[in-house]
Amino acid sequence: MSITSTKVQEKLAALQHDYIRNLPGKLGTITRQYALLKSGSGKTQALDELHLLAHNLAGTAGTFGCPEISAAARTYDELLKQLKIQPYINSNDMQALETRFEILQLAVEKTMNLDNCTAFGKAVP
Amino acid sequence: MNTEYPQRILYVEDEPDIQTITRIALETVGGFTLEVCNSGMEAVNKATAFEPDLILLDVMMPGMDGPSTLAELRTLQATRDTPVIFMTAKAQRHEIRQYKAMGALDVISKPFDPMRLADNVRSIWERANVDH
Repeated sequence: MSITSTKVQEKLAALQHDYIRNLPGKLGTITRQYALLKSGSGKTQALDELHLLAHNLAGTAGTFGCPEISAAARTYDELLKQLKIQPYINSNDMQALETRFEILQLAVEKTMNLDNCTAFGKAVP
Repeated sequence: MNTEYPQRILYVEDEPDIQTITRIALETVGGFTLEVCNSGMEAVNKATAFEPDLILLDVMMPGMDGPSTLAELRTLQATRDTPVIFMTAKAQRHEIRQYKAMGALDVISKPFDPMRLADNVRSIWERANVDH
């Protein structure tokens, strides 16, 4: 491996470390947006924001070598995408959102506890 | 389309984490010159002065999304014909067809491997040259 390549790998590893450290903050932002959605205030905007957050997390987590988080965020993203085109959101939909968010939370906790994001850039299967 | 590889890439992405990693992937690893824009509006404002060879455009952004940004960029003399590649988190097949119908060369899926992104961009460029 060349010196440049080693330096790039070191830089990427440092970025990955920072990314993982900041994951609870990203979940916190999602939680706040979900609370807005649940309260019914600015529902469309809250749904749009939530979708963007989930979509970004699906893309970034995989790129930063955390495929499990990426996969969990993807299912959350897909549900939100579906809800955006529905005429209304019922209690079953809200329950499904909460369940998928819990799965996402578990994936983040597992990643942070085990520090298992090692395959940088590995795509989600 | 120019048959040489692109040098100057206008990169439009609102996510700071992805911006950082893409900058390393395309500038440090790939040797491209990158102008990073946080929004579609910023891209429209910077495009004429930067004169990109290629535009790399995130699909889902707050405010002006990727397709709307592309439509705006096509109204500018400097980027009227500039090749575009969309980047998005796992697009469905019909969405990829839709983006290509808008004039995109191809779609790069996120997540991507930062060590291979530059090669991926060059491959898309090469394929597009063969097709034209």
